Amino acid sequence: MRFNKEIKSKKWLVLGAILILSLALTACSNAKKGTKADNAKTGKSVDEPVPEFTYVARFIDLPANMMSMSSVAIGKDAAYSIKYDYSNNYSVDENGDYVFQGSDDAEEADYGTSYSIVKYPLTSEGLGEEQTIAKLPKGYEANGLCVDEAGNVYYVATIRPKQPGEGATDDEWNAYYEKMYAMSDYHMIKLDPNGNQLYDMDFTEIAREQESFYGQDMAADSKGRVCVYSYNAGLMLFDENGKYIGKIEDNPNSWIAGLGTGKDGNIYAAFNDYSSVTNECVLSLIDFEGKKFGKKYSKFPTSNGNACILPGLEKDVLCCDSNSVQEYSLEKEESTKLLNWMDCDVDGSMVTDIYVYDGKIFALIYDWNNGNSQLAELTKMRTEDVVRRETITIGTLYQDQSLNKKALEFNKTNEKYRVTIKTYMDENNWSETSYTDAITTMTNELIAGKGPDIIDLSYFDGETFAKKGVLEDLAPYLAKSTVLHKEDFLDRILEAGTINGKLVSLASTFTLETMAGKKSVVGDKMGWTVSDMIKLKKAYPNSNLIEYETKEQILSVVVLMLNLDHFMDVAKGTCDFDNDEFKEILQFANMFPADVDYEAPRPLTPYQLADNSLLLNMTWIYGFRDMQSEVAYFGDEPVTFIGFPNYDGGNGCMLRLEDQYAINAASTKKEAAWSFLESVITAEQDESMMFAGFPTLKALYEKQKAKSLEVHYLLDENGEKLLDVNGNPIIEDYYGGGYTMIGDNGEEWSYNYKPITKEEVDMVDTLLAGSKLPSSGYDEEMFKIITEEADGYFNGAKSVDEAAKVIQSRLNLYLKENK
Amino acid sequence: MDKKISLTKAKTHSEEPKTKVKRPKRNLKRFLKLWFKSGLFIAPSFLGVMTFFLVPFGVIIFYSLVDSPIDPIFVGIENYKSVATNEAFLTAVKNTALFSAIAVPLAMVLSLILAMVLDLNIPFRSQFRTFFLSPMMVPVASIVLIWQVLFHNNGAVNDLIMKFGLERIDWMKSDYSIIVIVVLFLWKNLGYNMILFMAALASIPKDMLEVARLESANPFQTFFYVKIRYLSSTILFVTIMSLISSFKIFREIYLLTTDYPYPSMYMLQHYMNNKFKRLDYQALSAGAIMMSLVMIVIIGLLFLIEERFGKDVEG
Repeated sequence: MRFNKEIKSKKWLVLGAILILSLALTACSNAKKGTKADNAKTGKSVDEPVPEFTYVARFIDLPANMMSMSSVAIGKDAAYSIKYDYSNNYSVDENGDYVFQGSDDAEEADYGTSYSIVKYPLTSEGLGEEQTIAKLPKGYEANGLCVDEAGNVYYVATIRPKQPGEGATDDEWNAYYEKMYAMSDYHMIKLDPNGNQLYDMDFTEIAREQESFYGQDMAADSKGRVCVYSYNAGLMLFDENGKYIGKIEDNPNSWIAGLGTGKDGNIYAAFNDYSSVTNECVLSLIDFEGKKFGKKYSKFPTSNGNACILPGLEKDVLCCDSNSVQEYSLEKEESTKLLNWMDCDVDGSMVTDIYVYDGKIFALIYDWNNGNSQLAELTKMRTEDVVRRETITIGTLYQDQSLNKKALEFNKTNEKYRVTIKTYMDENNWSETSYTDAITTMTNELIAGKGPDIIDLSYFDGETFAKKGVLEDLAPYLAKSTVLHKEDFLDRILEAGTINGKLVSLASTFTLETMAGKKSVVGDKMGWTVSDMIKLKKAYPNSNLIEYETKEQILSVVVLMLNLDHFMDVAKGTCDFDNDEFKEILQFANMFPADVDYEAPRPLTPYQLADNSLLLNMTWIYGFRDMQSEVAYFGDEPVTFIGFPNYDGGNGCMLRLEDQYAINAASTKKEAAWSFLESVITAEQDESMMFAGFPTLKALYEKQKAKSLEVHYLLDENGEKLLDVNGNPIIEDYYGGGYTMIGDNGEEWSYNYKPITKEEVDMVDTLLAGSKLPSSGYDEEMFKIITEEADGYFNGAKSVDEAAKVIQSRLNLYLKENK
Repeated sequence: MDKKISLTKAKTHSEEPKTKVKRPKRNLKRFLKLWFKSGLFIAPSFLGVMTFFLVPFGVIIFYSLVDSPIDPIFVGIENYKSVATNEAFLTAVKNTALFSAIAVPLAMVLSLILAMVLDLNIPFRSQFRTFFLSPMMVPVASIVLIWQVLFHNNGAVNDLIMKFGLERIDWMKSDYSIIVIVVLFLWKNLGYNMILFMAALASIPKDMLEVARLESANPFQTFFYVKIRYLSSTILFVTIMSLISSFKIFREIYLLTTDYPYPSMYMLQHYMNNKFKRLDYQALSAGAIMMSLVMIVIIGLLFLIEERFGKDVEG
């Protein structure tokens, strides 16, 4: 009886244990679920957690050149900046160049730039009126600026040696620049909040020991001690009296991403710790006494960019990077995101600094493409009080400035929808597998029927997705769109986005890639074959065909990218690489070196082209003006855009689509996603952005072409054209003048943009008309097989026949498998 | 005496009145309660088996019958037809079958020979046993590195054959590659099979062997008529294990040559692995099901052979 009772009680015990275990298996999420009402307002599904608070941005335009955005320090009550003041010692010549006219004090010859420290009181409306608190003496440059919690200002003043002056020769200038850093004087200066100088400490001797000292960043702690970061010198330490006390010797061998003061008044530095297994970003205390890094705090968020570090609101440190603003706890070594820049319609990549005032977060935004500055006032509000639009997500690998801009523009103008960007690469915790992990994560999401609404195909395999039905067919949307039509696009644009008969992606921009050479070397006919290229190389055996030429480069990029389709038929799953043509390509590629020493000094490209030590220049055309600079490389020599060798007789120019977007077939917001695509494709390109590309719509392309041919002149206050010394009207160069290249041997080559001519624009049209898309079979795996087997031939392990045979076998298998 | 007892027993039994034994009626409620309680106890295991075996298998069957994982439309056996007629798949089947047909019998025969040799009282017997077992402990990546060095175009094996006046062979990129992987397979797996056979040999009843010896059976007759019979279940087990291991050779080939090796090394798992990478789950599933059906048939046949062959010794 007693035994039976024991058995019975044990039975119930076991049953109870099973029940508890079963309950533990049910998913009990900790995610805070929003209310249905909240979610309806935000357009999110019921299961998605809605943040309790959100930040709403109000943008305040700042006057042009209000402050130098690279040198801003925010104190408790004011923002301080270094202001550059170009004096009136200039005139503008017929080329649009600034020319020093000379000054009364000819010995100074300082080009007239003067520096001052300015102050902008912080107000609840933004920044107050500018006040100059210190004007630096002539010859003084200010670099590096910081302010302590008492409002005292610290900066590094550099006194450059006398310049050679007007009429100096190039050699004299070269000699000056070589010794400039070694002959400059360096001072650490402290001012009180009203600009009264508290100390001026000379540390010239120490600074000159470092190679080209420049105060990139600096911070002051609560005791008035200063830490200055100079890339070559490292972190240099100064005591409360401005006296240099030493530097931190254990060099992290990485760029210091941020230097600032925490809530405890200590200085911290953020950098990637390459001594750790994961190369993670850490925040380290600056130990003045020990002259070393103090405790390192892990998992500090900064996406490999410049990080602002300032005292936290509730936690120890407030920091921002190009993605978000976060608060970091030193004790827990974890960060809490306060806001995403994108959610506030702020382009995080343009945020130079943030500060907190009157319970609001302010962000200084500088658009370095056009020089415009703004202040974003971010006010924390309860989400339920904010009217939110339906959100659509764009999935991409990296933060991309161009995409950010498009998304922000859409959010500002569209009343019904807003986009957020989801990046799959965790740039704060980069590792060797980060890239593949990111691709895998998004792929898994898409295959599971989830994933973002819009996919940026710049980094993902669109073809594989398309074949699996992951991408929506855009043809019906295009057919019923009132904004976009099939015939609006340039030729081949829609063809490039069509896979297996379905239009799966649309590109908003394209670029052209080709090769150029002197007419005297390559002839005047556009387009050539591989045999022609081989003849050219044999005719100039001691010259480089292209810069940084290697066997692999020649094989995969120069020859095969356009011509792979000549050797195979992907649709039929057949190929023929075991033939004389392909063997000729292998033998040709074998004429080139295996590796390139990128560090080896070499003359600048224009000089190599001039003496025929370089025969061809790889040419990338992102805009109409690029044609001009590419031709300029050849000096006065007539140029032929001969293109990549091909078997079709075309001009060998490659058409590359950029910014390709597709819609997730599983998305529940396809109409919203389509409206974003429409806005992106119909938007005019921001030509101030480098590598913007050409628009894929005919109308926009023609508009850009017409605009590029316009000539603008500098006007005075009465609207009259300004004249140069010769009485000619001065052309306004809205491209920023030009650029200068400085070679390894100190030689220079510079170019100033001129108004674009009709011939240059026509040449772009010609290249576009004859351009081709890269081979349809262009596939990373395929190239891997070709280069792997070709390596065997290149290093003498097998003959060209053997290599071709093995390539044929393996690629045949590959094509049959994927037929 | 025994006879007497048994007769007595029989008589006793015959004298017993023939009364009908009434079976108690089945209590349905009790029966269900018992099943419910039992079910609760086996539920965790059953859930585990279902979650990790039955459900995924069901999903694979589903995938093999639709055209896309995102917006599935039933296509019947189209995926099977497409896979069965794919030239790459057929190449993979041929290579896998050829490799198994060569490697598995070789593995079995060689390991049996080794076991029999080590069963004898030879000097350094345990050292030899350790020597043959040690490849099992070496990580696969290390083995692959060694093989790459040995069979490289400028590797040790080519050096050796060139000393004999022969031309070098591109072992990994020619039809000779099957030799490389067969040798690799045998080197890796002989030890394990050998141990199994040694255990089986030790379990053969000594008196049967003595009887055979007394009956003037020669060693070959003893082996084929006595030992093989007793080893039949072990032979079956070793064959099945070797067959399964022969499919796993993909791992070594993949490390040697990556996704698309020379065609003679292209196995079924290459096909399936590549299909997985390309998100072609339909072809992958169809191929996997066809492969498992073939495996079921082969193993079923092996069981039948074993049952026929080893029946008398298993009683």
